[in-house]
Amino acid sequence: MNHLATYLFLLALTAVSVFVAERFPQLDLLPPAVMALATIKFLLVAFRFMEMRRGHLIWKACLVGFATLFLAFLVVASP
Amino acid sequence: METDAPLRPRLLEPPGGFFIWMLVVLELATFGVALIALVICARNDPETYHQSRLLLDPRYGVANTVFFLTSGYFMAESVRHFHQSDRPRARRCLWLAIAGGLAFLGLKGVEYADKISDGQTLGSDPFFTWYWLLTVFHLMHVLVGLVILGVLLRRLSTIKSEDFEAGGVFWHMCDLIWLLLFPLLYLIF
Repeated sequence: MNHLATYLFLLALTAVSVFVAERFPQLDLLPPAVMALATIKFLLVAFRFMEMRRGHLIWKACLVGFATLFLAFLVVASP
Repeated sequence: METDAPLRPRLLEPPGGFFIWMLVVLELATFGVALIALVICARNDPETYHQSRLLLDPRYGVANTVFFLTSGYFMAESVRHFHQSDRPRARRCLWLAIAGGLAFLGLKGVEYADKISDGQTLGSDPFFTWYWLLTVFHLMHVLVGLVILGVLLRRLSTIKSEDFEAGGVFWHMCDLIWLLLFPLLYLIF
């Protein structure tokens, strides 16, 4: 996936998360769903735009670990 | 004997250099803890956070996300052209990345003016305390990032490849933080 495809995909994910949040505000799964989309965007920027795909496995594991832990904490803590 | 060692990414040489990535990790940890604290506070008082969140206009958040993603795209393209020694294109993309950052700042200014005129300031309620603290802290990073991009633009013909890449990594870090801030402040409560 080149930078343009990544960029378009990021815009599409943003549109989907806004649509879901506006269309289904009472949905119990809204916070985890929206934050999961945000986490995918986070990893796309880190791996494609910041070129971390070229980085050492430990750096990749750090980023994926951070994103996963962050998402897990939010899901557990969300109202 | 030939080895494939140079092709393997080294632990101490991530794209942009070790120190910029240490900074990224520390910044993400700081914002991560703050965002989790925000969610925990919201769990204790969901109605206040919900009512206050409804006072934010998500269109500002969406437009700012688009500005930031566009800026990030041009920054990534600028680094790519820089590596290909195509300096004119790298410069053009860098200008567009800066333009995206300035658009973000401009719109944030309009949004802040809107909030202040509506009386939704730092001490209005817990949600707006978090809103102001987190967005202003992020904005300070964006300002620093724009200064760095300005320096990259000025020294484009002489700068080392790793330094250019490090500047790009800092700018993308602002993008990463915004990608987590935006849904938490504008969408989920």
